[in-house]
This record gives sequence, structure tokens and C-alpha cells, in this order.
Amino acid sequence: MNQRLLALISALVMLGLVLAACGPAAETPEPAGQGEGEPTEAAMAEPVTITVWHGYIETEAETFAAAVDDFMAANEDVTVELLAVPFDQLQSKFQTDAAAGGGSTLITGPQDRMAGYNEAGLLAQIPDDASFLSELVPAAVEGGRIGGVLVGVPLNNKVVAMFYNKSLVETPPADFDELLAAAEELGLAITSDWFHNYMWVSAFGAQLFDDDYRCVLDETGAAEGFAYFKTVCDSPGVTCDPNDGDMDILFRQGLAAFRFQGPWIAGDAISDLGEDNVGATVIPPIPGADYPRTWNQSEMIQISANASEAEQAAALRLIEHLTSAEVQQTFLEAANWIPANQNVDTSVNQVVGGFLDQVPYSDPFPVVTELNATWDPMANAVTQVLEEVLTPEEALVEACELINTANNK
Amino acid sequence: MAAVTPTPQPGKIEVGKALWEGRLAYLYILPAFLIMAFITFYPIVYQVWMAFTNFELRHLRLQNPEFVGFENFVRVLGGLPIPNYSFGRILVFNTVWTFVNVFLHVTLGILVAVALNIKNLPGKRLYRSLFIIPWALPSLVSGMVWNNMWHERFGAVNLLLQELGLPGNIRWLQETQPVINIPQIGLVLPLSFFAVLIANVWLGWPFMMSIATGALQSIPEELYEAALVDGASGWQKLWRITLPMIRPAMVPATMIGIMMTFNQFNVIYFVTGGGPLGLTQILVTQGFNLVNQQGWYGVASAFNLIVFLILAVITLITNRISRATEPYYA
Repeated sequence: MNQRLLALISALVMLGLVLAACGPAAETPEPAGQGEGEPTEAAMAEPVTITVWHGYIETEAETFAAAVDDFMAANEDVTVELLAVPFDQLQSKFQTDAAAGGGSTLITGPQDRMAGYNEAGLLAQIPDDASFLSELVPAAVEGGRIGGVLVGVPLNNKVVAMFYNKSLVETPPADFDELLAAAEELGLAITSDWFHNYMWVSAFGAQLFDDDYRCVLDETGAAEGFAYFKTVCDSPGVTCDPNDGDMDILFRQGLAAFRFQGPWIAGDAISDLGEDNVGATVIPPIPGADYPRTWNQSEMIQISANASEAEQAAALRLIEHLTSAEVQQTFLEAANWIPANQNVDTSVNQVVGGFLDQVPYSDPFPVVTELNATWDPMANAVTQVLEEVLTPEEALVEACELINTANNK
Repeated sequence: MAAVTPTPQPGKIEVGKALWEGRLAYLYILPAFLIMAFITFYPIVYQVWMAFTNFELRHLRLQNPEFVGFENFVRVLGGLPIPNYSFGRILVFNTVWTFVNVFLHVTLGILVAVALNIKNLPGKRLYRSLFIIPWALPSLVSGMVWNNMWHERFGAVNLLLQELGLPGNIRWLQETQPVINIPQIGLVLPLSFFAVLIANVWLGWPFMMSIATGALQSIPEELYEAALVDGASGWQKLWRITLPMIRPAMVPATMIGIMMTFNQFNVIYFVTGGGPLGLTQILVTQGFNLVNQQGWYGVASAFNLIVFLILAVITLITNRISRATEPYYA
């Protein structure tokens, strides 16, 4: 009898499982997708929760969170949940989650990542007639387009320049020889990855891609730039290390008077060294060559294609807030962001002024999927050159071969 | 003429009868089987299918992937357009990594267990409790801690060496010049191999110590008394009594250790990241990178199927060895 009772219970449990599986699917809000224009007023009025994934740390993270808190205080129908993801994991996390129908409502990050997101159909279109766009730097707004479709809004502009410790350096060096002479006693910290060391390529007249986005570093003289980079790293007082955070620490602790880095550490450096001791200026020219040209990119905020109409509406309101002159001013003062809003007065901020001076000596990120294939091979090439595993010529030939094979060029 | 009735075959009757008699048992396991089918079997079948397609990131939403036959397998074995990739070299390294680790785990574990088995040793229980801590810590945490400890500038190891007056600027995780280089078999061991080896040995030996400790308790004391009467030395007792008696417990434990170490993702990923220049990459970390960094789902599926086949062969071999292990009494 007991066995029969147990069998009956088991059968009922299985029946329940089968019925649950075969029942009608729960209704999920349909994503608004691309090209559907401004969300409706009804969608905008509903209480809604949106999520933002970002890669900020320390000062940037605190400033961003404060701005979001201000937004929620002024927009009580919108709840914004922030998630800080390690910068190097943010792209793959979003790509994987969003491609599977999940992920965040909004994501921030360098504009070069948009190409991969867009190719995978992960981004929603930003309405071209969004009112806040007219306040932003037009060139930066255009940087958010792929194939003519606006899929990202610039939050700020970022370019690598030279930080220097004003308490140790009275006048920035005029050229690279002077810099290396000063670094012998005062120290220079360089992150030995591809992002920070693209500049050697351009200083010696080489280029990364041809018109077909085929890697041509091995054909256009980049080896000379990498050879010079090697001599710089071997110079006394210069520390080259792939750990970006460690190199920041050297500058922030006063162990290196010079640091090639983007404006994102300015807030932290000022906290550590004092506002009067942190300066930024153009990376000096290399005698016999040109000015090193660093990468220039806008940090974008994008809306996921999985966002519902209500979520998209709320997301646009948040973007409008983050790109407003008032909030951009806050980011300028606290985190030393180069603002995307053209109505922000940057003249009062000497650090940002230094980065703006670097802009003419920078090259924009090509927002193409081919760029994604360069990061690992070029980082590997940098290591091979610095560790003397391969000559610069050999390392670049190997890297370009891998890049072009991966890009089917 | 009388009709001939076909006689049912005895085998079919037995199977049918067995199924009917076991119907309740099958009913009980059916819910678990259904769950397993969704969370285990279906993903495996899906992965096998992916391995024969050009599945990449864009295929998650926008397109259906195309069937490419064995192309992914050929690419995995022949060469992929990513830096420092060589399936053969990674396999050789993975094998050396596994067996060196397990040898050290077992040796250290048995030695410490034997030492702690000494009669009336003060603090025996305390030591056994403390020595379990490395095994109890999540390997992710341990990996990150060891990564920090091997840091060239700020790591505890180099700082300690400096305090002792020794060279304290060793590039444990960055030095690319190999310590051991045998190109004939594709074996390249940089300094970071020894760094991550130390980290993994620290993690793994308590498990072997625990197994050996339990096995030691089952050895009859009379054997040692008899050996003492016969004038056996300590070494002879260890070699002739202790090791053979704990073998039935240690061999399966060693097999488990081989499986776990072969796929020890956390330690490699968080201590060295597979570097420098991919020289400490093992198969599972490489497979992970194919998805995480490249988004090559089809290629990664083929890669991991090959790894599965390799592990299946190792499992068959180790199972055969385990079955060949006989108790000392037999």
C-alpha cells in the first residue's frame, strides 16, 4: 500500500513538472529594438528599474554613483542599479549576457567596443532627435554612429597624455631626450600594453591599418617605433610593466614623476598628491621623429537592444542627465573628465587643459570590428619585444599575421 | 495441422520482466533524469553540435551558424590565429603540470601524515586542523593571494627575500626566459611554472594528507611490532608495511588528484593567467579564453571535446590501474 502511495505521489509530481513545462510562457516585455523612435509617454510614466554596467573604480565610480543618485532623487519613478565590472571583463560579460537575452539596460565603455556589440545586434538605436544631443560636441556624437545609425552617446573624451608631479618637476621636458634625462632621477612609469604604446607607431610614421583594415604595422615602419620603445624601457629610471594599476601607483605615491596615462586617474592622483602637484601635458616629441600620437576615444554609454520600451525611455532620461552641462561640470571637477557637453567651461581645470592640448596629437579609435583582433597579438608583440624574445620586426610580422588571419584579410 | 505458436525469446522476456519489476525505481529516478537531461545532457549535445559549426558571437542572436564539418577540430589541432597557441605544447605542459603536482601532493601528504601519526605527538590534532586550511580555502581566493605574493615589487615573497638579504627583485610571473626548455618534446617551463606549482602544491597536499591519515589508522599495530621484533629499520617499516598498506586508499586518491589537477582552472587563471606569453596555459584555461576573449563558440566546443577525449583516455587508464590494485592481504 505504501509503495502504491509513493508511486502515486511520484506520478503527481511528474505530472506537475510536465504541466509546468508545457504551460503558456510568461509574457516578457518586447524590446523596442532599433529604429522605433522616441518611447511613448505611457512608457515613460511607469515605475521602472534599469541597470547600468560600468568599469569605473575609485574616484570615477564614486562620482558616477553620486550623479546617478541625483538622477534618482529627481526621477522617483526610475530606479537605477549600478554594477561595477572589472574593465577587462566588461565587454565579454555584456556580449555574452546580452546575446542570450539578458545583460544590463545600459553599458559604458570605450567607443571601439561598440563595433562588436553592434555586429552582434546588442545595441538599441538612440533617437537622432533626442534633445540633449545638440548640447554635445558634434564630432563626439558622430563617433557614436555605426553605419549611420546612432548607437552610443559620448560621456566624455579620453586621450593618453603625460602626467607629471609638479612638486618634483618645475617645467615639463621639451622633448623625449630631456624626459629620459629627467626620468633617470625622478622616474617614468609606462604601461607596457598595446593601448598605451600605439603612440610609438605613429611617431615614426607607421600606421595600423590600410584602407581595407588590414594590419600593415609590419610594412610601414612600426618596427623602428617599437625599437625606440625598447630603448626607452631600458633607460634608467623608466619602469615598463603590463600592470596598469601598478604603474598608476608609482605615480600616485610619488615614486615616478612622469606617467603616460589617461585622465581617468587624475582624480585619484590629486587625492594622493594634492591638487597643486598634479599636472598634465603633451607627451614630448621624439628627436628625429615626431610627436607620439596616442589613442583618442570617447567613452560611450549605450542602451541594450534587450531593453523594453519603458526601460529605454528611462535610459534616455539618465543619459540626458549624465550629459547635461551641470553633471558634466561635476565630472570635470571631481574626475577630470574631458566633457562631451560643449557648454562646460574647461579653462579652469589645468589637468584637463593638458589633455586637451594632447588631442591634436592623437588618433581616433577606428570603430571597426577589425580592431578587436589587434589587442592580444599586439600586447603579445610588446612583451616579446621588451623581453627580447623576438626582434621588433619579427614580433610585428607575427602579430600582423595573426591579426589579418583572425580578420580574414 | 495444428497452428504453431512462436515461442517468446528468453532474453526479451527477462528484459521486459526486469523493466516491469523495476518500474517503481525508474519512476523515482525519472524526475532527476529529466532535470539532468535539461541541465547536463542537453548542453553536452548542444556543445557537440556547436563543434561542427562556425558558431560565433553573432550567431547568438542574428544568424544561424553554418555546418563546417571537422574544420574546427583541424584548426584546434593545427593552429589557431591567437598568440602563443600550440595544442601540442599546451598538452605537454598540462601533462607535466599534472604529474609533477600530483607527485608532490602525494609525497608531501604521506610524509606529513606519517609524521603526525607518531604516537603521543604533542599538538597532533591542532596540526591536522591547521594543515587542512589550504584545502578549505576557495582556490579562487588562494590563487589571487598567491598572485599578489609573487608580485615583483610588492609581493610578500620578494619582500621576504629582501629582508633575508637575498635578491628580492625576481620576476616570478613575468620572466620569459625558460628555466627548463626541451624543444624535442615541446616542453618549456618558465619561472612562473614553479611559482604556480608552489601555489598548487600548497593547495593540494592537505587532501592527500587526509586520505593517508585515514588509511594509516587501519594498519594493524601488530605488523609494526612484528617488524620491530625482526629488527626492521624505520625506513624498512615505511617501505614494506606503511606504503603497501595505504596503497588501496592512496591510489584512488591519486587518480582523483590527477583529474582535478589536469583541470585546475582557478590556480592557473588567477596566479599566472597562463602567462607569460602563454607558457603556463593549460587546456581548460585555453578553452576558456577561446570563448571569453575570442567569442569562438564553435572552435571552443571542438577544443573541449578533444580535451574530453583526452581525459576519457586518462580515466580509462586510471580505472584499469585502480582495479589492478589489490589489498595487501590478498
